[in-house]
Amino acid sequence: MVGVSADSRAAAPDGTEGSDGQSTLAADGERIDTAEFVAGVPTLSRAVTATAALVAAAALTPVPIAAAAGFLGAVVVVVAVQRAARRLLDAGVAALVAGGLAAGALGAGPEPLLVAVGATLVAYDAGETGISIGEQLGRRARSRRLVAARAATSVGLTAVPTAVAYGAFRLSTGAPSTAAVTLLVVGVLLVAVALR
Amino acid sequence: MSVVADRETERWAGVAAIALFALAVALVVSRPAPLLAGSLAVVVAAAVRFASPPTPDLAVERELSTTEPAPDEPVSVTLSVRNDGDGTLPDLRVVDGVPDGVHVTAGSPRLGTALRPGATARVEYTVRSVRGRHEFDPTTVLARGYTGAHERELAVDPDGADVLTARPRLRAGEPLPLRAQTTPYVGRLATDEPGDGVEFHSVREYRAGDALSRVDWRRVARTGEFSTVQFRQERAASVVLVVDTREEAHVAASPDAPGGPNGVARSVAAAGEAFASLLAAGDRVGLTAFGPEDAWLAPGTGEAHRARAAELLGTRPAFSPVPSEEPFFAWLAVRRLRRRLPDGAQVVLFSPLADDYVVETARRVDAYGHPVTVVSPDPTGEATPGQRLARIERRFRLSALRRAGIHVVDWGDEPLATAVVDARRRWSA
Repeated sequence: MVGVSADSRAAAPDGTEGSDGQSTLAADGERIDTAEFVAGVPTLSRAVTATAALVAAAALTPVPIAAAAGFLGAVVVVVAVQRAARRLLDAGVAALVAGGLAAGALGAGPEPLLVAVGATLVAYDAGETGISIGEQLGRRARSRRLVAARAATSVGLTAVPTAVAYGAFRLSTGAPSTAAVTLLVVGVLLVAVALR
Repeated sequence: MSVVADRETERWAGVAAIALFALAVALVVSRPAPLLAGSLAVVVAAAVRFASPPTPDLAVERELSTTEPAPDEPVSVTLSVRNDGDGTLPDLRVVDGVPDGVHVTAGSPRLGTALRPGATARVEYTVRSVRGRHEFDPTTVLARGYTGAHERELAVDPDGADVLTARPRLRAGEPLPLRAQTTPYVGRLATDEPGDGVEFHSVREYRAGDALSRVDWRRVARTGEFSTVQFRQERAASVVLVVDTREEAHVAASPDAPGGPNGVARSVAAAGEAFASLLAAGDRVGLTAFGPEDAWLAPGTGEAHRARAAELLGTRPAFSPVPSEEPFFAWLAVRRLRRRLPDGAQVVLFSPLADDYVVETARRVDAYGHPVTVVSPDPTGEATPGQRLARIERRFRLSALRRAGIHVVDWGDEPLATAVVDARRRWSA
């Protein structure tokens, strides 16, 4: 059957299958929009990802070349989340990281660099979560709480080690200080234990 | 609540490489700033390394506004998920197991949320209840931890209602014209046999024992000869409705119109209507499925019989709008059908005629002495060359049946009654 085969199971996996019984005897022309699942990244995810990516790029402005790479990466990240494309997201994040490292190599201070890398982590986390929600739950499902909780978690998880690392850096400027190294190690250990 | 799978999402794969690369850059340029950036990546890598799959403890409950809706009545479903564990669940994705054959008309049976201990999240959506018995599948829950590095998939059987039963009401429509084969019971089919009835049949010589009311007294007065007036006998038919429920019959014009009825759903609807109207006309009606799942209702009459038919059509898996997984042995089904058909019973076959086998079956049953009428919902479209080909193939099948002397009601988009009236006009012409 070339033309008429419409095995109901083909559309079944998410419960959208269907065919009507008694009632459509007279009016079987009736077609309702029953697609309960529409793949797509939630709007809130896109907003969080775009904001974080732009913050990361903006933090790199002191070094023009790094800023160029950063803004390119941010644009790619925004497009990737729009299209739910993981590879593209990876590429955008790679560009942002490369921009950050370039800024560090070309003499940017630690503050913009930490902000840029931290924001990049948040952007990746939010973007990847958004894409996976788009695949698993779709655009029609309520997912605001999930997106918000995930964003808050990743901001928190990034902010704590950033603060620890920055503190260590401030203490260790000049001569290598044992206190600073200890603080760094303790910070890493604390995070590891907290997450266990 | 059972764990279906533990997966590593690998979403942080490569973060350690970034850390090492940053370290290398820092060493090469002898600056501390890239090292700082690398330290963030180290922390993430460590967090992922130490993360373990979450162990959610959930209480899930499903509520239906009604478990026995009328067909087409919207049913609202509320699924509530409570975190009974001690820890916060930061990433919880819930997908309710909406049964096949039920459409979601409003809302979504999916939810993404985060739950503190003791907190409850609700999913509300509306489904349109279609004919049949539909059992909800277990709810799928995907839980991720703080890093999202692990994902645990759970299947949870919610408390509360999980079966939706929509029984059709059998409404009588246009009486289906039947073939000339009847039972000894009085009914609506006018036969060619002389006897009691309404319509004039013939006049014959009076024989001793003829009822006096049948004697043509005017003729007696005119000629003195006695003669008896005979009428056409009206008899009831014994009819078995056979619904083609094979996988081949689950066809519809367009695969992207999931709300549109397929061949089996329309056949079942037509069978329900025909059942009610034949019963109302005084015929003895039976019901069976020609497909992998068995269902049989011997011909009978009465209100209880009608209720049994509604139950059968509404809730038996044999008449489900979703194809069965059972294997189907065609020759066995034909033999079973032949064994069950009472002597003198007619057959009305409901089939979209999507393959040749059903045509052959109809002709065979007809040849066994059970006159067959075919009611065929038209599942073909004409958008693509393939659909046009299928339409032409089906037309050939219809003419093959008609050539074999089998009555065919070709039911397109119009109401069934219109198709029946059209067909009757053709047969009597």
